[in-house]
Parts: sequence; C-alpha cells; structure tokens
Amino acid sequence: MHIPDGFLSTPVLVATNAAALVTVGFAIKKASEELDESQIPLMGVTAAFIFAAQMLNFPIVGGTSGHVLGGLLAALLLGPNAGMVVMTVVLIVQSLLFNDGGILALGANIFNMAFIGSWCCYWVYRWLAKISKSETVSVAISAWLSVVLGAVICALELALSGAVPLVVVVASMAAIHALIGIGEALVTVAAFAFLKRTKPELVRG
Amino acid sequence: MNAKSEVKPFSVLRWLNLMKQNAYLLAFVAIVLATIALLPFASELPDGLERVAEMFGFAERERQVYSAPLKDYTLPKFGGFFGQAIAAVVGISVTSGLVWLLASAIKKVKGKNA
Repeated sequence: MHIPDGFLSTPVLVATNAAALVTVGFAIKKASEELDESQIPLMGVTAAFIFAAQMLNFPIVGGTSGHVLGGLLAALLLGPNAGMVVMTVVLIVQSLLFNDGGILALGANIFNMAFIGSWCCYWVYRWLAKISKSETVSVAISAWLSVVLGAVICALELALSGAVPLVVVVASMAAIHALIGIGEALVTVAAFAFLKRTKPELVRG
Repeated sequence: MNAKSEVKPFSVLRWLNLMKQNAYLLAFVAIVLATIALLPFASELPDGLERVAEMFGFAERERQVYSAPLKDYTLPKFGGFFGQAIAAVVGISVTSGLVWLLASAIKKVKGKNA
C-alpha cells in the first residue's frame, strides 16, 4: 500500500507529512530514552527482515498481490517507539533507492504503515493481550489489523484528495487488505513464536 | 612470508566461526540468502493499492517526481534475477546499516544528556 507521488492532493500531503514529522519525532525521543545498547543489533536485523519481507509479494485472489509489512512484529520485538523508527527507515530507503512509495507521499506512507501499523497497533496488541489471555490470538488479530487499518487510512487519504469516492475506496482497500492481513498474521505469529523459543530474552511482548 | 600471512582474515572458516558466535550476523546472512532464494517466487502482480487504482481509474494520477537509482528493485539495464538479487542485497544492507547508525546516534545523544 505504498502510495506513489501524484495520488494525494497538496493539503493531504501537507497534513500527512506534518503528522509523520510529529509522530516520528516523538518516537525517536521516546526511543532514545528507552534504548539499550544491547538492542541495537536486534534493531538492525529486524530492519533487514522487514525490508526483505516487503520485497516478497505473495499472490492473493483476483490478480492481486500483497506483502508482509512487519510493523507489529517490529513493535513486539523492540517496543512501539524503536519499532516505529525501524519502519520509518525502511520506508525512507524504499522511496529514495527504489521508487517504492513517492517522496512527497513519504509522510503519508510513514503515517499509515509506521505510526498506525506499528505504533498504534502495538497498543491494540497490549489491550488484546490483557483481555484475551491468549498471546497468540492477540498477536494474530493485531497483526491483521495493522494491515487493514493502514489500508483504510490510506483509502481515507485518497478520498480526501479527491482521487476516488470515499465508500468505494474504503470498501475495496479494506476487502483486499483483509486477505493480505491473513498473511501478515501468519508470518508475525510464526516469527514471534520462533524468536520466543530460540531467543526468549529478546522478546519484549 | 612471515607467520602473519597464515591468518586469513576473510577466510570462509573465519566467517563461519564468527556467525556461530554472533546470532545477529547469522540471522542477517540467513535473511539475505532466504530473500535471494525466494525472489524468483515473488509475485509480480499489482499490489492491493495498485489494483484499486486500476479498478477505479486513478492510477493515471501517478506522477514520478524523482527517479530512484534502483527503481523497481532491479539494476538499471541489468534486470532479471541477478539485478534483483543485487538490489535485494543493497536494500537489506543499507536499511540495516542506517538503522544501526541511527540507533547508535540516538544512544549517544541520550548518553550526553544523562
């Protein structure tokens, strides 16, 4: 769901870039307070994993593909602030080196996938883990939600830009990403379980 | 030649030994190799947003305001599997390296304030 340049109107670009600046600034500030030196290698490896996973599209129905975003996994391993920082760097590199996501739309993509998909959905996970008592179910639902919610916010930005009517774009983006989110949930649950088993000391939860 | 030449700093054995000691290095190498292995199976179909943009006719709004050096995850004039594999290695390494540098810089700022 990387938005290219040209899709969004100027007011939406200004608003999303401002929102991204504020939220990323906050995440960096909080991360600097929490960050432990021993976490730095894990941040590097998590970034490598997320970049790699986002290159590997899998087909879903109707001649469409999707890929893992990894935002919730990053937040589970590193906490929501460092997780959001990692997602932001991935999105910047994708835009600047690979033309994946526009440079003017970078703020919108950071807001949708790093702030909503990683930071916000981490707190959804924490809340679910508290009320459901099943960590796996909480991880699965919040990973799925990170894709669907990001797609819905993306659809709102497109509708606000006058690119497409609100109802059709929200419905179609949500429907397609509800399927892509299943892949996200499976990969996140598997990666989280694998790390918990092999390196339990790394997993914050 | 003196005795020092017996130490080959970049020998395969030395790398394997390093990886055995460092789980992060092992994970990084595993991620790179797995990505290269899986690249031929990655779907070329349009993604969710591209599909919706085609369906509702706003795909033509796209304006490229900047041309990236490794556009579309491949090397210019050197496409195919090898171009993609090199783009993947560059992307994974640059992303990982930047995160490392940024995290270290954040950590230093914190150290100064403390």
